Amino acid sequence: MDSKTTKPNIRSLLGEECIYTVHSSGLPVYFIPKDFSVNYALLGVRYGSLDNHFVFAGKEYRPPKGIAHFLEHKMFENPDGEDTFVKFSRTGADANAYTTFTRTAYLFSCSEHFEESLEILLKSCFTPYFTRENVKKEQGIIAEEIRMYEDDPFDTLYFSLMRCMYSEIELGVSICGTEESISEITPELLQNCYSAFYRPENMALCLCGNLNIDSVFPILDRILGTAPSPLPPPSVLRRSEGRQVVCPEMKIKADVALPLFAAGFKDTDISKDPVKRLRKYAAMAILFEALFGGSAEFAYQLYKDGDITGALDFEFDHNQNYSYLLLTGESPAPEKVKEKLYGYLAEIGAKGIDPIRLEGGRRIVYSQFLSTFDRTESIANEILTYVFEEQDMLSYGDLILDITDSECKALFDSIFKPEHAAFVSLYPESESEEST
Amino acid sequence: MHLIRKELYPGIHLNILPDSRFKTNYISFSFFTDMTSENAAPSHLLPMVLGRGSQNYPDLGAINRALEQVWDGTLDSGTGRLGETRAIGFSACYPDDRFIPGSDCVEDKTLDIFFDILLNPKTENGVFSKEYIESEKEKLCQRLAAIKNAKGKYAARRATEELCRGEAYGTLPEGTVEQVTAITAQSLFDYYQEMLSDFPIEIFYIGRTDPDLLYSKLSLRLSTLFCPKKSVKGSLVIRTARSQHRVEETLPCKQGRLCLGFRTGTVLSDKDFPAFALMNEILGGSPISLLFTNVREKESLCYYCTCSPDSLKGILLISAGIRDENRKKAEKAILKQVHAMQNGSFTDADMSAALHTIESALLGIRDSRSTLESYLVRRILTGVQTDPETYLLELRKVTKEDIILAAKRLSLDTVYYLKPEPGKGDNDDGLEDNET
Repeated sequence: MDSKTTKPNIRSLLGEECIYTVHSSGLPVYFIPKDFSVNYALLGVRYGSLDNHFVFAGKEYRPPKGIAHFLEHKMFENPDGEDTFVKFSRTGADANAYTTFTRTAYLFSCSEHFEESLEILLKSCFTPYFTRENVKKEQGIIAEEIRMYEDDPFDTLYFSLMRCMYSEIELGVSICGTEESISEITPELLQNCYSAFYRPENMALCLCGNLNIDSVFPILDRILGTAPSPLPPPSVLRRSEGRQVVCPEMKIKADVALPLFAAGFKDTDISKDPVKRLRKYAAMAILFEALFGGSAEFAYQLYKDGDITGALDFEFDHNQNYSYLLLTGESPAPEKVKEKLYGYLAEIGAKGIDPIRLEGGRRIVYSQFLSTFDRTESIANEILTYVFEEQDMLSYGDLILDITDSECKALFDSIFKPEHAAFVSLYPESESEEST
Repeated sequence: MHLIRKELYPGIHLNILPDSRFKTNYISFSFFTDMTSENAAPSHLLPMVLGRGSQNYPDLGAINRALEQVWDGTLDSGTGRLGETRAIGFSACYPDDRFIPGSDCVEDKTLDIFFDILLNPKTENGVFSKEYIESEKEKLCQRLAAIKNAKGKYAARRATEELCRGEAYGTLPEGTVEQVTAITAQSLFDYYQEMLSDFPIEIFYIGRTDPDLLYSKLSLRLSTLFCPKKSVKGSLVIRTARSQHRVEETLPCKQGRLCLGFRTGTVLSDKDFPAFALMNEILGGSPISLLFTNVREKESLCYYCTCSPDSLKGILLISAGIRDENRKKAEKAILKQVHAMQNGSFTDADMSAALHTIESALLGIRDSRSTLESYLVRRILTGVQTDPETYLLELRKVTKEDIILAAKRLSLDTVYYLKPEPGKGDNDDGLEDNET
């Protein structure tokens, strides 16, 4: 964008608002009014698979891997013996839950009976119920879930790359854990983790839709009470991660028809200031789109030359805990892709990035941000991410258009260094070592 | 729901759903023809080749750069099936001008690109570019080879092939590698001309543009397509299984995949279809369904146990990922739930819950453009009324006896099992580690 042009106020152009309140229990509540038929509620907990070493109420805990995900599975069982899904069936709400590296979320969407559904959600999440029988049953189910993911070569690719990049942060460990680790989980361990993390001030309630927000607070009063938790919050112990990768390359034999590849770049330069982090996140989004998106010559050339069979996919994250970029695809010759990728980056490092590509990146990132507001589901999930990062989602639109070319250039220089790079390829079982 | 349906020409219809709630606008074109084994490969290859370049945007890079300039309109294309009708689809989703700084006439510019790709392909000597044809053929063949990577989807495909062996539905959706390889620039261009001249077209638009203005714009742009269309004959429906057969395959994987294929005896155009819809929901449509609560929760036999009907073809697939040693137990447990439906062993609460779930989905259908389009196009193709409110009234009249009768019309036709190869399926980590 021409820096002399008056910058538009994107926040007011979007016409969205986010109403923030803190309930007396300490639970933050975020409400985004939208004139949609489907209303969406999401209760997020700052507790994910990486929070596996912590101190709470004077005791140190190192529970088995996969316990945050296991806990998520158990929260919809209740002392009255009736599964939460059965309760939701009476209101017609569509409910689900998920666990990531850094959070757990419980959610529902519905067109009617919102207050009743919210009450069901909150009661389930604030009424822990763990017994030997229900833990044993869940071990069988989650073991099948683990096996299902183990059959997915893209899962193998992703976690292998993470193990190559990270030694201290356990991004290379499946969020579900392993069959062995989940066999060690007991009701007592679940209760310990629940007590430490499932506290209103460690959570957030995100609501989106055509709702009467005033009806929500009496429900919170009834279920959460009106006083904050007396115990201090847990302290999660994290080991410091070095900048260098563990292992720059790995080749794995797998049951795939064609080889798959993943290239990763590790970044440990993470600011504690949430505003600076969001700015860097926006710059990363624009830079990576300009370098690897559809209009970048690189991706198109790989496709044209037959070096990749479909799209070159890329994803990245930049949050309080970790920051990385990864590129994946399917290729008859991953070694060629690696060579071309590193060559391309060296060339960009020498010549610089075309400002037209960066402007294109800005437009694409802005458009993606805009489309978030077309579903109550995407709005609520995105708001939760921003909330847990202590950032303002509605400021992001203006931020995207404010990122400069020189910021992107500085980012390129800091991220794309050989010692920060790792490359993993999966080859079919039938291919000999010589052909790789 | 305010659906405006206008005929542009006999066999070409424009369906407009004015909606000012979204920040993006959406348009799609679907071309229909009867599914045959011969048209499988060209139907899949055609959108891939068209997407490689047009007269004014001669390659992918040019297309993507042009889209980037209009704030990243997303163009999509693909081929699917609706029963035994093949649908070749092209769509565009782009920001509305109101939310773009500087108001760049995004809709008109995006549609310029869209129609250039659809109606003005890049040609050499009057046919498609040989380079593009050969490149996309290779990629389609690679995609066919990679189907086995996703074991769950592979098992469902194989089960469907076996269930519908000898019928159009049972043919390989993308054709065989031999059929793909045999396609030439001339044969595909002939097929493309046939698509434009003969195939009926349904156009969907969901957005803010004035309907009359849109009608005039499209009438002008599409005038070259105004020639008589060949009507599609729909699906061959076999109401009852003629015999039962079993198929087993072995592949390297950790988890077995069991698929039970049924003839349902009911299709969308039947007056008792609402009873089937409720029956399907109670049997396997949700986390409180008979399959989920019994096969997964009570017996811990699986992580997923899904029920997937095709309401135009009249078939149903029940699929589960299981341990090999539980194969017989899982099949027995699944069939027990089917028999429970047929014996009426479900409660008023089950019926009420199923109705609530479908009601909630119908009340919110306008919020998801893809769901809405899918709901409407099936009904338009089969001549069934399209209004969700009317469908809801029909659902509310369904009785327990109606549901039992719908269940009794289910007949087991095929049991397919993908067996894990003993000792295989473990991905070997670290075949070669290159340490620094």
